[in-house]
Amino acid sequence: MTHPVCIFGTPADSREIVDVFLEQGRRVLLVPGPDAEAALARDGRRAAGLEVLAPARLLACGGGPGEFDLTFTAADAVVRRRVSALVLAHRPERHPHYASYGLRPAPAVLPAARLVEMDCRPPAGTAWNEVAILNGLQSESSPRATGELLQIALRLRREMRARCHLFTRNLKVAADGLEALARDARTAGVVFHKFTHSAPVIRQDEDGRAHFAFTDEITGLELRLAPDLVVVDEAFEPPAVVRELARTLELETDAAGFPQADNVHRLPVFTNRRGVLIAGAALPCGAAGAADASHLLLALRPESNPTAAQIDPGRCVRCLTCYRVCPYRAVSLAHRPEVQPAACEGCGICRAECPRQAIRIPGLEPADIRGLIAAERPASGRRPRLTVFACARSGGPAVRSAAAAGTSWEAQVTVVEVPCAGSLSRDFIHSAFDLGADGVLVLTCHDENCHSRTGNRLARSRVAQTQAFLDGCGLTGRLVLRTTAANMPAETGRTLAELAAQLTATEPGPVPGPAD
Amino acid sequence: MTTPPRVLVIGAGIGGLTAACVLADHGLEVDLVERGPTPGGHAARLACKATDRCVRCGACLVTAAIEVATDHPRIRLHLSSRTEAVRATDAGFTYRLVSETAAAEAAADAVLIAAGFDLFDPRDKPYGFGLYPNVVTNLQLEALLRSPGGVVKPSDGTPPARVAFLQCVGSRDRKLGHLWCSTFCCGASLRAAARIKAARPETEITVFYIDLQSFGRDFQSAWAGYRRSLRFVRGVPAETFQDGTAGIRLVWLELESHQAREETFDLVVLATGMVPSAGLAGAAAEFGLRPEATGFLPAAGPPGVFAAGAARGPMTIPETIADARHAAARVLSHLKPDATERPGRSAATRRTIFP
Repeated sequence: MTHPVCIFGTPADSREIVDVFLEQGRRVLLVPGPDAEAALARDGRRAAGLEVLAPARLLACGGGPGEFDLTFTAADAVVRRRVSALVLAHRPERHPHYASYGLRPAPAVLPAARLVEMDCRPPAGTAWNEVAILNGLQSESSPRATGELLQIALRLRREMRARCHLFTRNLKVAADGLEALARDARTAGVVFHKFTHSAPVIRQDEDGRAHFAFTDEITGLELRLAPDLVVVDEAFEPPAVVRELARTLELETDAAGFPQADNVHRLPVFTNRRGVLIAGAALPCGAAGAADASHLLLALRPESNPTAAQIDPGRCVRCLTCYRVCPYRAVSLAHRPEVQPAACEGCGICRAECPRQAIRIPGLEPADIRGLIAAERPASGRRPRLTVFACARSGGPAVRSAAAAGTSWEAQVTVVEVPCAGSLSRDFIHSAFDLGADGVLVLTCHDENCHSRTGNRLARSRVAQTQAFLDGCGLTGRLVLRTTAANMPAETGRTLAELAAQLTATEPGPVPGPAD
Repeated sequence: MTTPPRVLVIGAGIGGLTAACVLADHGLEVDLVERGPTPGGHAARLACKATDRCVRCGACLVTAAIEVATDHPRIRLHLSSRTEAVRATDAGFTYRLVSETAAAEAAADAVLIAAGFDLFDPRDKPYGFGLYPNVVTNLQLEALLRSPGGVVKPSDGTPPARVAFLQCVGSRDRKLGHLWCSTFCCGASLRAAARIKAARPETEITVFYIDLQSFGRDFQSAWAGYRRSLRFVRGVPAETFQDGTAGIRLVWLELESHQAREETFDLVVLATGMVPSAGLAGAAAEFGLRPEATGFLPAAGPPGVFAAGAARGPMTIPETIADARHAAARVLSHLKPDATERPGRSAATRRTIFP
């Protein structure tokens, strides 16, 4: 039987995911967080397959996908659990934009979340006859927030005939049904005030009532408003427990601190660690509900990995370079560094960085590279000879598309595709020259598009070092690095053609080929 | 149900390719039927718009999906093909698979309609599209960006000095009954504009918009950058006038001054939106799936019939990938195949390729 999946999240945040997982026969370990009440552990559903560990803080995560070893502190004890995967499902915290509007919280100034809690009903004895809704008036809003605020506006219109004014800059409607919802709101009498080059002046009384003074940009009319209720929009930020989990689990984060890098390869629910997933509901713009659970279940499927790196214990000196550079946190430290095969992406960065050449990756050995370069070279002696090391995600497909489109280069081009440009060690580049190349082109993914995040940057610094060395040997201009993408065949073809032309104009490379 | 189950996926754009890969990785046999001569749909025709860094549009993922699907042992890709004579059976459907050269009877246990979208035809608007050579659509701009010469005026092949982007052409349009935002166009226009600026910084670019939609993870920061290099005008001109050889005149109401303003541009890009693809209703009806009032499809219909991607409504590439994965999960849930296969890594989300 496989181990349970560990879901980090409050019962409310994770209800749908837990339900779907249990339905699909997965066991679940639910960890609501270090501030959760111990009662949850007792009262939490003892549905078959669900264990609630509360309160608990994750101390450490060892092992790898399929067999993570988690260590928690829970009430003064240390608790260990073995799980097959981790899911971070805590919803974002909502921080009302009071400060940016110059407002402070008051009975008449409430955040959107509070309106939802109150079911859009005023407290007894209060009437909301005139309501201002602030949606992206300072910082840009989002479709999720806009949908919620439009629903609030519609409720207030329909149920209590409140005069609703929605203040915004750009109305965010780029999601299913929002344009229609905005139209419905207009039809129901919600007034939209859009600001482009001006902003309302907002001040607040001592008793908390807000006053608005603004110029309608279309008519030029000057208007004033002193609403009974101001609904303030919110920023979505990762809660402290998620920030801590990201640190403990060594996860890449985006600019806001959410534990998923802003990288197309991580969408929709992946992190830089295989087996550690982030629920869509835990991201400001991710899918929620059943769609979320689907993605998570699909991502849990175990797969074999024939191309995992292997560390030779005889050569390893425990410098821990591999542990530090692995973008996927696939190196675990027990008695010595070991690669977790299920976590390894085969990117080759550890192999290239290891100062003792102690790491092997099937197919990525120097002998394999030399074999590939030598095999591709016909004995015709056509010049110039250009060896291209191309990332299989970008340069490889781009060159192949260019070739398929009939582009030809006045050169003999040998393309060696590698899983990541970060796997290019200096010996690969030297091998190319040793085997008669007049020039070497390294094609990497664009910055921030690299699947391993650091591979293209490592390639850039290694190429720079090698260029400096070649310059010292009087071989300037023979090693070039360019970034590209799989859907840039024209530009990539042009890069090859330019380099070929350049090399034709110079003397042949340092090592003669077989037909010379 | 056959063993292993067979799924018919209609459309080999990014949605169909993604769903096919997920299903095939789970051991199912997939017939991926594409009406066009090449896979990849609209997204395969997009240019990479990275300047000094990736802009996260997701277009490069389409190439990977095409490669994986084309090589996958359990995916049969049928190009220039369509389905006909669909009949529901106890277990699923039978149909005729028709290509240019052949017709064959086939069967499937479930069908996933990922037929994508059409772009709104701007000849229905008085923008001079089809009449003035230098009025182009966003998709035509993508082709220019991909071409060796870069973005040039179709009339004479020289780079434009002043470019205008007109957003929301055919979207958010009550008179047309298109009550949707096409979601991808603000991002596509701004990224394209930034790429044009990076190649030729002297180009003057104006974006005419109604509401700028966010794109990417940190739009707030990106927005500040775009506002510095591009001019934004709120309000989209309703028509264009070709001014002899001087260029294309646009007239609009300037918000700040409340005055009419008139300027000439060398190149006008119409950010045309997504509409339900022609024939979608007919194809869906064959499987008992009825479009909604918008003309787009609901996510599911009769048992065994599913829809994903832009056929369900406008969505971006990353959203389509997510939606297709979700639809594939629902197909798996419906068919409950035996978990006999534990294939190695090949899915569109993970690639370890060595030559």
